Amino acid sequence: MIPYYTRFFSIAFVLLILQILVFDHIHLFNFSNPAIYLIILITYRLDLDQFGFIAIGFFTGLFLDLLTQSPGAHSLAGVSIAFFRPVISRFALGANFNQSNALSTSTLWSNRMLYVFLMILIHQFIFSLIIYFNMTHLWIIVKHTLANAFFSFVLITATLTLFQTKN
Amino acid sequence: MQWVLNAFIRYKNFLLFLFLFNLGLIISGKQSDYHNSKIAKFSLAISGFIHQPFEQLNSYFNLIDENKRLIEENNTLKSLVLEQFNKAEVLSLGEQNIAGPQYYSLPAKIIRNSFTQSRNILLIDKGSNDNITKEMGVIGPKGIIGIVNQTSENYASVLSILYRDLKINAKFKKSNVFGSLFWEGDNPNEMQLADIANINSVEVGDTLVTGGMSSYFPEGILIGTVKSFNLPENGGYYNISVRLFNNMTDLEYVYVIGNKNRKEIIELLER
Repeated sequence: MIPYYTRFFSIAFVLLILQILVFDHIHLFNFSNPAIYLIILITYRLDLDQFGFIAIGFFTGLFLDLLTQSPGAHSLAGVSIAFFRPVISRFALGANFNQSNALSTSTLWSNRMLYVFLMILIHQFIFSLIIYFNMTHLWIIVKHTLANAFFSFVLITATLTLFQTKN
Repeated sequence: MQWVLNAFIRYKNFLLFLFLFNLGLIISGKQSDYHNSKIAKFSLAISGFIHQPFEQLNSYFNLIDENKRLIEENNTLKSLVLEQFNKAEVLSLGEQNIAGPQYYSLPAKIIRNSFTQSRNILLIDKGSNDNITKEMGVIGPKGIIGIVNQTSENYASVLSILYRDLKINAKFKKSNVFGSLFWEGDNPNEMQLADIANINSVEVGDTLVTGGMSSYFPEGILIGTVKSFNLPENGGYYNISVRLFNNMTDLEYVYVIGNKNRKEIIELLER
């Protein structure tokens, strides 16, 4: 278990640094900004205790909030997605919801994609909701959510596929 | 204690989520003034929503204390009104009021009220220990109630104005014409005014006040209005029905009126 956490936190740290230094500066059509660091929350093992995962979700977001001067949106979205992940995995992965690797090839490709997309979409929705913090801007929140979610989804699936192939 | 621990372990994920989510909101408020004001506004709305029912419940339980406080305040106001009566009286006589205010008031609560008999008596929760003495006047929020009949240490009985043999000196507010007010024992909201000669003009709706001819009540305390009247054939006096301002069937708090000069007046009359 310790080697898993060492590897996990190393990858998480690299992804967070990449997010801050590289991906936060990418603004597709001056509108969309990818959240590549969500790989941390998507790939965390499903069979581990959720208690620790909620803390990881929060502190991952907090790390970004503090370094990007964001008003707590990453922390709140991170902790929420970590809390709701069992529901999302049950819905998207079906019978395989409790296996260790959410992206195992034993699960149907469509189910895996649905899981990844829902994790990104819900995270981005909460994130935009906190950023705007005003329901009168609901339409802009939805537009931002969809744009960011699609852009992040493309980049995240590409990254996951790339590293999975290498493995 | 065990069940608290069990519940805590069972819902630890949810509790951690709530804790961290709140922490996130606090950070949100610290990081951005806009978020801070929005969160403050939201928490104010939630706080108001939660506290309102409790506040209403609390104020319900505080009603007794609040009533007492209002009675005290009313008593102070009544005393001021009585003081004004005294001043007006002194001014009209062109004399100086050396002895100070002649009338004063003491608040009391009615603990028994009968109004269905022909001779009704009220019981109040103040007695000789509270400086209540026989034959003091008793008034309510809207006018006269009766006269103290007997006192014990902590209680006093009051002859209600709905007492067949009691006659109250009353006058028309507009014309200062005096008469005697009495109850026929029928309707608790209605009394009769006698001894008003037919040379005086009477109209429905005329206001009646205490006459000040007795030492029970100061002059000018409200009684009621003329409901109807008629002039009997071959009679020199009106039959006047008076509708009382006070609802005698729904009384709770009253004020006992004391007259500082009463003893002197009685002594003088007895000589």
